[in-house]
Amino acid sequence: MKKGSVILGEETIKMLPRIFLAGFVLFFIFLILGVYLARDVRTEELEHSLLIKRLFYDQNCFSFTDERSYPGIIDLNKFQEERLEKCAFKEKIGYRLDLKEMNGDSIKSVEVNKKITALLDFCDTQKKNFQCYQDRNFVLVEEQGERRNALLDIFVVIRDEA
Amino acid sequence: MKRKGQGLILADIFALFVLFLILAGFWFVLKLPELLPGREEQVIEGLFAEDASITLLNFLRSPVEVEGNIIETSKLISLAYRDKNLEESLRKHVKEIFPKIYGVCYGFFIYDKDKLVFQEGIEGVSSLAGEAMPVKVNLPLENKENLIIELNPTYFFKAGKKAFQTCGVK
Repeated sequence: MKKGSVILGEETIKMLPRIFLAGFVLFFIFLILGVYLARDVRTEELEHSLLIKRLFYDQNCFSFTDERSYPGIIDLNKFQEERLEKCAFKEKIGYRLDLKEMNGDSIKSVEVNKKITALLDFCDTQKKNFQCYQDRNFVLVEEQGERRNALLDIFVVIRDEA
Repeated sequence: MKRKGQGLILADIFALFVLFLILAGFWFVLKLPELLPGREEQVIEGLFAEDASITLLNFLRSPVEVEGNIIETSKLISLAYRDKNLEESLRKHVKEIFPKIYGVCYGFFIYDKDKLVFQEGIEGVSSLAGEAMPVKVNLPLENKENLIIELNPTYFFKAGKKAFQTCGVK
């Protein structure tokens, strides 16, 4: 036998079950970790909900403000596309707001992110890469110091992340 | 016979093998999402009860015509509490507004302490099909007592999707 060579003897044979056991344990640890990480976490519901809250509560959006902001009271002067684009805009979210009288007559309609809102026409048919949401809210419209009852229909399209 | 240093070399082989397993494991974790055929979806939902609270607050602030005068609905409620003749005006106003938002899936209640003094609509009950999301506000009266105003819409799960949808709205 050459000097310095290693004899794979009794110790090596003892080592094999240990290696097998360690491999087995590690495999299951990574399998559980992998299954947990492999899930899709869908946040569109939450994003939709947050968008609506932002529209209603942020005084930079359309809510009427004097000394404080009144969520749910719409200042018609603030109900403009340019303003809402600054207040609540996200690349993958498009929304259309239809403000209506209680009898259904339109008061004003605004669309933000028209590239995405174009998908609204396909909400009832194919929805592969985007989600659609529709809400109706009872609101008050403030115009020239007077308040009246109105309905606000909110249509939201959220495109899936690429 | 055991030679000098043999144990150390074997320990090194074992350590290298474990290191290899850990690296292979990380590769496996990164590749697993592509290998699994159906991916589990976890949906994080938003809060819906808050939407109803805005609706209720707006309702209480909304203008209503009573005997030729325009007053706020909260004022009408406190007047109707004393004058039962005004209850019909209140009922009419409730029917003008809430069905346009919730269809028939809502209940509007007024309580004097625990006693129900006014009801319009149905009492919402949570079930497998939907979820009742009541919101309440206290309405102070001039005699320093409170009425409790409750709006209880029931949201229904949209078929095939983990989302809520109010019934009766198109």
